[in-house]
Amino acid sequence: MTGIALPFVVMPLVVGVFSLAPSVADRGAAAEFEAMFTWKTIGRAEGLPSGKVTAVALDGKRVWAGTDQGLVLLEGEQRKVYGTGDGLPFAFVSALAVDPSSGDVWVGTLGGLARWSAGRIDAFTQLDSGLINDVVYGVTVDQGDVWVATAAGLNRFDPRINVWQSFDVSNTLMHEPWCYAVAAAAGKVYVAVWGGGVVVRDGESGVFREHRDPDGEMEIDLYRDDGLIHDVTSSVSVAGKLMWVGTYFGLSRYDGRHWRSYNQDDSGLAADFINQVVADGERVWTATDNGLSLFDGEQWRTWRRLPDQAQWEVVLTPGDAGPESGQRFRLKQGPAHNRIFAMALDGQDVWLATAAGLSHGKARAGAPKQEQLRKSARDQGGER
Amino acid sequence: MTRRKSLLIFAPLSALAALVLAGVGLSRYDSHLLLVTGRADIPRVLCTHCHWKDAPPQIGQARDGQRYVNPVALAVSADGTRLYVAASTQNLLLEVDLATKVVARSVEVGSYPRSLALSSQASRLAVSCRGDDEVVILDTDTLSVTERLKVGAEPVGLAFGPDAQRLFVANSGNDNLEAVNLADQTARQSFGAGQEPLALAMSADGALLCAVNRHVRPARQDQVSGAEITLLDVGRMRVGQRRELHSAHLGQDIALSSDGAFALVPVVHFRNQLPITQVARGAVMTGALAFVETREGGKTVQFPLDEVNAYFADPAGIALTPDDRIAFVSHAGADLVSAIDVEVLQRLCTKADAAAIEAFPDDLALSAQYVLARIPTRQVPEAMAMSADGALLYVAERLADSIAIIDVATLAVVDRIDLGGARVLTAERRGERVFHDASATFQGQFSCSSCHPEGHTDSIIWDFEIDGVGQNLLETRSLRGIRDTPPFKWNGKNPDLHTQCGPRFARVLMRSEPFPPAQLDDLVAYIESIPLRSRRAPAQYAEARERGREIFLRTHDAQGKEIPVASRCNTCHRPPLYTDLAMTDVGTDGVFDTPHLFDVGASAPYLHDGRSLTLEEIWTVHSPDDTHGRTNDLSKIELNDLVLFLQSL
Repeated sequence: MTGIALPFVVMPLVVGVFSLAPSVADRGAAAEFEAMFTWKTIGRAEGLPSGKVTAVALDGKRVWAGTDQGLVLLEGEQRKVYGTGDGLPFAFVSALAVDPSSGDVWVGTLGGLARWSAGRIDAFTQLDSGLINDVVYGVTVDQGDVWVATAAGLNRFDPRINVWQSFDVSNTLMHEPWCYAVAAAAGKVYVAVWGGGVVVRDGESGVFREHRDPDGEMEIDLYRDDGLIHDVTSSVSVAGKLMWVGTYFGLSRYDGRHWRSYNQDDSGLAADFINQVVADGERVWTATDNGLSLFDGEQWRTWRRLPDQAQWEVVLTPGDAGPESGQRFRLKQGPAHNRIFAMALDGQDVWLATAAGLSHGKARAGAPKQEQLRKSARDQGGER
Repeated sequence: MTRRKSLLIFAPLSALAALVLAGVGLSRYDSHLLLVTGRADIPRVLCTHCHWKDAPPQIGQARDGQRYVNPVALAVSADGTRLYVAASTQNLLLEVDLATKVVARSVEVGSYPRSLALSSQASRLAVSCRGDDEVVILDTDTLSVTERLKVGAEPVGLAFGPDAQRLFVANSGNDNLEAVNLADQTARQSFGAGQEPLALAMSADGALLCAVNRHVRPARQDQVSGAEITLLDVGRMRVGQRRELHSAHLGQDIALSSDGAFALVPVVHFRNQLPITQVARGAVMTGALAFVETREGGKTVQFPLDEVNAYFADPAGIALTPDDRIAFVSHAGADLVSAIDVEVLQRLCTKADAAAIEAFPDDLALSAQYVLARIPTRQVPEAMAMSADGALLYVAERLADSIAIIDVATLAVVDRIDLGGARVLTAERRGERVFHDASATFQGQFSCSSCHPEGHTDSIIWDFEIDGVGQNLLETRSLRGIRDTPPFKWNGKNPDLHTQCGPRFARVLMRSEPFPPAQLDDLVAYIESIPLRSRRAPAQYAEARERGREIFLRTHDAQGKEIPVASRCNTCHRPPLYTDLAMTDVGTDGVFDTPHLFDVGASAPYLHDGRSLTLEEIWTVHSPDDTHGRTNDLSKIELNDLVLFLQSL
C-alpha cells in the first residue's frame, strides 16, 4: 500500500528497474540489462484522460493515477476514469493515499478532498466540511486518521467519528500556511511547509517542533550541512531514523543528529527542483523536474530522457563525488518524461507519475542485485 | 457553661456558618449557571428547572418500577431447543426453552442490547449493547459473559466471520463497519457503511458480508438519494460494492440466500419530490423488498410489498427459509408478517430491464404475484429468526413482549411465547403503540415512526405544499428531547404537542380521522418520553470541544467587539435546552422556530428546508451576512471547534 506521500516500506535492492540499453562502448553487457527489465508507459492512448499524471498510489494489484483531468483506476488492462461528474470536487488530482486498512482512496485535488470507496466518491470542501482549504497538495493516512496538507494549513480528519482538526500558523510553529506534503511514521506526522521548513507533530503529546534552514537564505546555502538546506520544502519522507526532505533547492538528510545536504552541482542528484522524495532504509528516491535519482549512500543513479526523445541515459555517480564524476550509459527505454511529479514502489517495480504519462518499470525475475549491477557498470566503463 | 450561654455562643456561630455555606452554595450555583449557559443575566431558578424532577419514565419502564421487555433481536440455537432474545429495555439476554416456551435463563449484558449473533458452532453468542458501545460475548453453555469488547458508537448489527475468529460490528453511531480480530483485539479494521448501518448478514461460506443502513446519503433538495447495501469481500477485506437503494431507506434487516447469490432487504420506498399531501394517491411512501444480486454488476430491484389501496407500513425484519423459497417480512406498522415467494422474485428480477426496475416500486399490483400470505401478529413485529430446519419462524412482537411462532408449512401463527415484563400499560407504552400504528393514516400507508424512526428524523426533505402546487420544503425534525421545547412545527404555529399531533395534522398529512382524545394523550405522553441519545465526545478532542463551547458562549468577537445579544449563539440556542422557545429569522427566507441542538450532529440536513447538508454549511454558505449568529469572524480552526462542540451535544 503506497501513497505518494507515504513512507515507502519496501524497496528493491536493484538499480535496474529500467531496461538499460547498451552503451556505445559495450553492447553485450547492455543486452544483459535489456533482458532483465521491461518498461511501459500508459498515456491517453491507453485510457488515461490526460497525459499529465500528477499522482500515483498502489493498493495490491490496483494502481491509482491522478491526472489533471481526473482520477484513474487501473486493474490489469481495465481502466476506470472518475471525474467531477462522478463526484470528484475538482478534476485536477494533486495527491493520493490508500488507507491500508480499508482500501479507501483519499484523493487530494486543487478543489477539495475526496474519498473513493468501492466506486462511491464523497467530496469534502472548505465550505461543507472541516477542510481548511480546498487546494490540497498532500494527503496520507495514519492509523485511520487522514492528514491533509493544504494551501492554508494542515487537517486531521478522523472519518470514523467525523471529526476535523485544523492546524496553521495560529496554533502551531508553522512559519507559513502552505503545506505541500505530509507523511507519517512511528507515531509522528511530518509536514513539508513551503517556506517554513518541516514541521513535526508528535502523536502522543500533540506537540509540534520544526526544522528550518538555519541560515535563512533564499538564494544560497550559506553553511553546508548546518541544517535543512532550504525552507521552501516540497516533500518529506521518513524511514527508520532517517528523514529526507525535498526542497526546490536541493535535498536534505537528517539522522536525528546530523544534517547532510545534496545539490545537483555537488552530487549525482538529478535536479534541485524536487517534487517528491521517497525514503526506504538507507536509500532515497528523488523525483525531480529533470529526472529521477536513487541514492544508496554510496552511489547515485540518475535517469533522464535525452532531448532526442528516443533515448535515455543513466548516470552513475559516486556518493562522495560531484556530477563531473558521473558515468553515462545510453538506454533504449525509460520514464516517459523527465518531469516526474510523484512515484510509488511495489516490490521491485516502480510507478512514476510524469508529465507525459504513467510510467511503469517492471522488474523481471532474476533482476541483478545492486552489487552485480555496480560491477557491470564498472566493467562497462561507461561513457563520460 | 449554662445552656443559655451555649445558645448565645453557638447560635450566632451557626447562623454565621449557615450564611457562609449559603454564600458558597450560591456562588457555586452562579458559577454552574454561568458555565452551562454562558449568561450572567439569567435569573436563578430551582435546580429542577433543568434537572427534570418530573422527567417522564424512560421508554420501557413502567410506573411500578418494572420494565417492559421490548424484544428487538432473536437467535435460534443450532439444535433448535433454545431461543435467545435481546430484551432491550431490561438490558437482559433471555434464553427461552422452546420445549416449554418459557424463559429458562437470563443474564444482564449491558445497556440496550440490540442485536445477536451466534458463532458457527453456536458455542458463543455475541450481543451488541448499543448504550454502552460494547459487544458482549457469552458462553452459550453457561450463559455467562466471557468477554466485553469496546467498539465504536452505538453498535447494532453483528456477524461472526467464517472461523469465528473475527467479529463484524455495525456501529450505527459512526456510520461504519468494524472488524474485530478476537484473537488480537487491537487489530481492527473500519469500513464506511452508509448512514447509520443497522444490520449485517454473512454468507454461509463466509466470503461475503452484507450491511444495510437506515438513512439516505445526504442530498440536495432537488436530488433523490437512497440508503445503501454495502458488500464486503471478506477474503480481501475490502468493500467490493456499494449498491444504492434509490429513493429507499429505513433498511434495518437483511437476509442472504444460502449460496450468497442474492440479498433481501425490506425498505421504505419514498417519493419526497412529490407533495407529501398526496397520500390519497398513494404517492408518498410504500413498502418494498429490495432484491439484490450480489455479483459484480448484479441487479438491484425493489419489489413493492403493498397492494393497490392496501398498505402494510414499516417493513422491518426479514427471514428466509433455508431452501431460499419463502421470505418473511415483518411489518411493524401493520402488525403482520408477509410471506413472499422468492422464486417469483428471482424470475421477475431475471426478466427485468432498466425500465422495469424503475417501474416496479410503483406497480402495487405486482405484489399479487409473490405475496403468499399476510399473517397477523401482535403489536409491532420486527425481529425474526428461523429455526435451522426451516419449519418454524419466530417473530418478536416488540410492544407486546411476546414471540409469535409461525408454522412455515401452514403460514399461520401456531403458538406464542410470553416473555413476561411489566403488565400495566402506561400512557407512554400505549402511546408508543400509537406511534407505531399505521392504521390511523389513510389506508394505513405510514406511521409516525415512518418519518421518525426511533423518535429521530428520517433525514429527508419533504415537500409540504398543501395544495400540491409549488414547493414548501421542510426537513423532518427529530422528536428526541422535545418535551419542553414548544412551540412546535417549523413555523411555530403549534403551541403544544396535542395541537401538533391533532386534527389539523390528521387532515393535512394523515388524510384520515384525528386520533381519539385518549390516544392523542397517550401519543403525546410517549413523544415527551423519547430520550436523547448521549453523545460521547472522544477524550482526545476534549480541549477542542472546550474551545468550541467557549465560542458558543462568547460575548465578544475576534476583534474584541461586543457581539449584539441577538447575534450570540446562546441567545437563541439558550442552554440548557439550547432553544429560546421562540421564532427567529436566520436569513433563510422567513421566521422559523428555533430547534434545540441535542443530537444535532446526527440530524443532518439542517435549517428548516434542509438546504444545509452539513453543520459547516450553515455558516460557510447560508449566513454570509452573519444572519445566523456572528460567525464570519471565526477562523476555520475555530469553526471546526464550534462544530465539534455541537456534535457532542
